[in-house]
Amino acid sequence: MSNEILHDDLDDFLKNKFEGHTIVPDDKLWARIEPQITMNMVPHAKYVRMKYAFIAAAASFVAVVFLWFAQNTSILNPKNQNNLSIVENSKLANPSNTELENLHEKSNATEKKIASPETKNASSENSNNLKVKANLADNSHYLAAISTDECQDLQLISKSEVCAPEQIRIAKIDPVECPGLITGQDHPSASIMAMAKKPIPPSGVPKPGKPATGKSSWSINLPKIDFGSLTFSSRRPLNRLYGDRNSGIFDLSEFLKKIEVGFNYSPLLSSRTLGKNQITENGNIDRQYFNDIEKALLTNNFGLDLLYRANDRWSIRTGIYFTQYQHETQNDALHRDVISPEQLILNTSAGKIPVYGTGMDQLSSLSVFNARIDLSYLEVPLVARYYWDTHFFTDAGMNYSYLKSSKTSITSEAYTGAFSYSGVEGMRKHNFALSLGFGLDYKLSSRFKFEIGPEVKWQVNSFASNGMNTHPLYWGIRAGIRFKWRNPGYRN
Amino acid sequence: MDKTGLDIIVSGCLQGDIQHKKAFYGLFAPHLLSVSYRYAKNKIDAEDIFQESVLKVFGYLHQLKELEKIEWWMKRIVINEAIRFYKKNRSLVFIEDYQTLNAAELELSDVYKKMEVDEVLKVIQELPDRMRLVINLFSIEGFSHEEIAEMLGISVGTSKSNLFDARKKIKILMQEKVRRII
Repeated sequence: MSNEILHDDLDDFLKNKFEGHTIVPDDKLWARIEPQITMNMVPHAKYVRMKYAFIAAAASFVAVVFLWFAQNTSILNPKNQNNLSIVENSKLANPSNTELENLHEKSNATEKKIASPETKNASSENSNNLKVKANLADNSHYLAAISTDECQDLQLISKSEVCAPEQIRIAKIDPVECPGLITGQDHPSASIMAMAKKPIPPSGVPKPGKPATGKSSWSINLPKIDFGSLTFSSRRPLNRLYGDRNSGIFDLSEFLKKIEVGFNYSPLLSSRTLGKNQITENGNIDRQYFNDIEKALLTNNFGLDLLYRANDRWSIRTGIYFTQYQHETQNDALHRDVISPEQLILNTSAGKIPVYGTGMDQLSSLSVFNARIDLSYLEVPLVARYYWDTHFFTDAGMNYSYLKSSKTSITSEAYTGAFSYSGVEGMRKHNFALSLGFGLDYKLSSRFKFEIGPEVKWQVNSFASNGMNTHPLYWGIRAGIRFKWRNPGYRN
Repeated sequence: MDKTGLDIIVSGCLQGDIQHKKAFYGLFAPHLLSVSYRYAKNKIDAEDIFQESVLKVFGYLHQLKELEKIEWWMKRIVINEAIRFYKKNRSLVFIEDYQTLNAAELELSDVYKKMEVDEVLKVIQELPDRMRLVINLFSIEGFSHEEIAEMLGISVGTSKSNLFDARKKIKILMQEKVRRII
């Protein structure tokens, strides 16, 4: 207490000393300032202009990319495309160790999900009330508890009609700390809701030992089986369950302040320089013409990520993204490996494709094929981010991707039909890429910000494991919304 | 100066009249320079902060909506500029290394209270950057620790710890100055 008085004394002393204190500036200062204000120069106007120019350039780039894709039609032969469905509907021979799928059957396949018999939810509102709602499902019994630091009262404010009063209990766990407990017996579709009134702390008078944030912490224990009598467990606030400040233990609250959740979408274009390739396989050398003309199609990449702000400058980003990659090639894959008559395969830039029984097995090995390749894969980035200032940043890191599915559609001038193959046989499932990106984030509100910037990815290995050692290059624009968990603890 | 007179000067500044700008500068510069000195560790830094702040004041004067709050508005510009200045120079990136300060009871006797404001200013300027910012923001400006944490990009705990250390350091420095005088 005496220290507090001394501190207050010092604060008052300093405040009084500098109350109305002035220092008359040197004339040289005005001489330095005058030319600049005469030009009516706004400091950092250049920076502001650059920021908006950057946004405009990025938006223009996205628009141009979309327009470009909208205007370009498929390079696949339209005639062959018309026949595509007919061929796809026909039953294809199924060579051993390969997977041929009927696309229509695949598309009609549905996955039935088993609904969970248990539902529960809890919500916290930004107002001065905290709500906890528990939906009681069949054969289950939940306890929902509110624990607020400054909780005054706990009242039942609503319940479903099917929930009998004796099935709901409200009890104060600790009359000092005033948390409440709600419990209900087994009942289908019953729901209860309780509200704890939280007083607004007087402004400028923080509670001793606690910051005057006006927030209460709350915790929920679900589910908890109770056979007729109330049972209690440790009901400390969540942030304290994970350690206290300055205690040396991991502090969840401090950690969450540095976390940002983001949803990102990146339209990417791909590029591969393949040209003429020579493949040596089984001791035979065949001159091949891979991808004489390759046309990049729009690759969609989107997902959720987490950004950990280690400090003002450095962050780490990781998450999970889903990517739909596609490109079309002409003069693709003329190599035919005849291991046996039943295992006739085409060696394409998308991997080895079995063609026995499709009609294409009758084509000459010098026939020209066109291919459209669709891949979908999951991607986990691990990227370091460096903020040059409060808005501009550079991303650099690596991406791991797991190939989920692939589909290759092949047409040929020498064959009136088309052939489609789905599967990941002969493809690498695990792939790595290096990425480099630049970006700008723009604060939309105290919690949300928008970020945008160009990104380049260089794939360390190609998806196809057919002897070609190519490194696809992707470039595009990453754009997304980022959500700050709490008071960030960094400058922007 | 009454509101009408200030209104005329501000209107003149907005129209780009240099005489009005000079009058405006003469009116507020002494106060702003004092604030700059409190947040800076030396005269050079203080004048840099002051100059950038004055340019910002003139640059963004058209955004000022309530003339009654002009002093507070300009003061906030100086404060923000000081924070930006030290962040830019990366001098805020240091660990809390003043935990070992002598925790002996230090009393603020009447002798200290008789210190001149310039001497007190020197004491504040001798503080490490972050301590100086925190003591200014908390003790003199009246910001809360949450606000300071947000402004400086530090945690609330760090802000409290820096304030505690700054108070101790100020008392030690003031003792030394008084001993020299005696």
